[in-house]
Amino acid sequence: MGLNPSTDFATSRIDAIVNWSRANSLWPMPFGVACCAIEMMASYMPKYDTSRFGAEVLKFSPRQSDLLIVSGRISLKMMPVLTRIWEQMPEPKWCISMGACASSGGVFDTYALIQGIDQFIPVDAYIPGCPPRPEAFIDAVMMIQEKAKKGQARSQDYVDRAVV
Amino acid sequence: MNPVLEQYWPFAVFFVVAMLVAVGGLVVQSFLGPKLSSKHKFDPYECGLDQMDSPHKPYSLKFYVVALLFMLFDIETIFLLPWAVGYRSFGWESLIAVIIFSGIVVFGLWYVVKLKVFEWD
Amino acid sequence: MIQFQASNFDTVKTRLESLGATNIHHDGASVVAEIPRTKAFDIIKKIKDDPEIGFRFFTDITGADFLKYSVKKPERYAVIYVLLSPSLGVRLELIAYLPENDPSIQSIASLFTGANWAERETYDMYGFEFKGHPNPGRLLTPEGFEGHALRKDYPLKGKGERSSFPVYRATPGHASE
Repeated sequence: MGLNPSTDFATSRIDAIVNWSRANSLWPMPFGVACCAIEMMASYMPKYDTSRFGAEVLKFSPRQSDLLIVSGRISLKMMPVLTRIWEQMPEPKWCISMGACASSGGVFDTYALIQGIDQFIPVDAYIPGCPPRPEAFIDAVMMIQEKAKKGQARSQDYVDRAVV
Repeated sequence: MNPVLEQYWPFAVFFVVAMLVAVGGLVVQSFLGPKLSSKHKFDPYECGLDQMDSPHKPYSLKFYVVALLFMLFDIETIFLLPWAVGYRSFGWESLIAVIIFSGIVVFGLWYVVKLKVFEWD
Repeated sequence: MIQFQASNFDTVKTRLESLGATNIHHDGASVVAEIPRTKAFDIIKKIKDDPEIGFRFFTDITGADFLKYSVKKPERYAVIYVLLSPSLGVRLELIAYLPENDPSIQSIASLFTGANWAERETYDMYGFEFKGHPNPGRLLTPEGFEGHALRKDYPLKGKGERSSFPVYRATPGHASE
């Protein structure tokens, strides 16, 4: 039971039901640190509602959420905080890297910013844009839903296994 | 089944369903949830930082005193309730008894207020 | 918006000249003057307490590194104090040049509380020592960061700090502790 990244399809009805319910009730943990957070807030508002996808309960606690949305520049001082928050989220968990800065450092190729959070935490969906439109954000949430329905999550790939 | 108890069967159903939802959710999660751990996963949550201070600190004793007084006055209220329900049939003597009872309790309250228990820093 | 008025410029200029500032000019928005670093604290204290021109409003302290500048400057480093006079509506920038081998200057944190963190930031970015600062130390860079980032000889892309973080790893099973 549970997520198994080596299979693409649900192997049983229970898995299908469980994955479907996980996909349709993704509780986001908004990690909004910069301008992309404004577009993320806009996509939670009634015009581009994300609660139609089940992502309504915005818990600002990692222990009660399963979708981390990193929106904004992550600086040197912020990276350990981000890693700690990611670690404190219970499995199954997915991560969206929103915007150019979180995905690759954006326009800031300097000493102070992380050039892409996917070097250090597993990312399931990247959203290009500076900042991306709310429609792009919702597209990423739908991609995560597809992944959840199949039972895939990149956080599972970072598991130390004795046998790969 | 006792006919008096029979009218409470909705409570029993409610209790069983509540237990199913609360405990059942945890049981299902222990079977279906992935089990992974990492170094700082079970650290106390402090917005991503290391814990700076212990939450166990001494706090004011007045909390205990207020809770104790609440208990006493709550019991007094419980004593007053049956009289309030049937005062018409109890007559005037009961009214005098209740007034004396309330007077003793209010005297206790006045004494406590004079002791400055309800004044906090 | 502080509207610059040329009439106030002369008042400020005469006062600053009498205190020892040089090269006083304005660029249409603020008055710029150069002060010697040994007298910087006294000059700022005097113009802060001055009843006529009172530069009581502290705005910022920043630094400059003229290593690769096109025009030859007296020294490599400079501290720039930005002050504002609410009564006159004049913004003042005071430049104090610091030599490369001893970039230190008296701290004005005792005059302006806002200068406390501004001086820490300037130290963090340029390495200037502010003598008498009540709480010196880095402000913006993380613990263990070496070097001063805004100097012209510090590489823009850094020296590898931005890629030296531990990668997330998870182990199967619940944690026992």
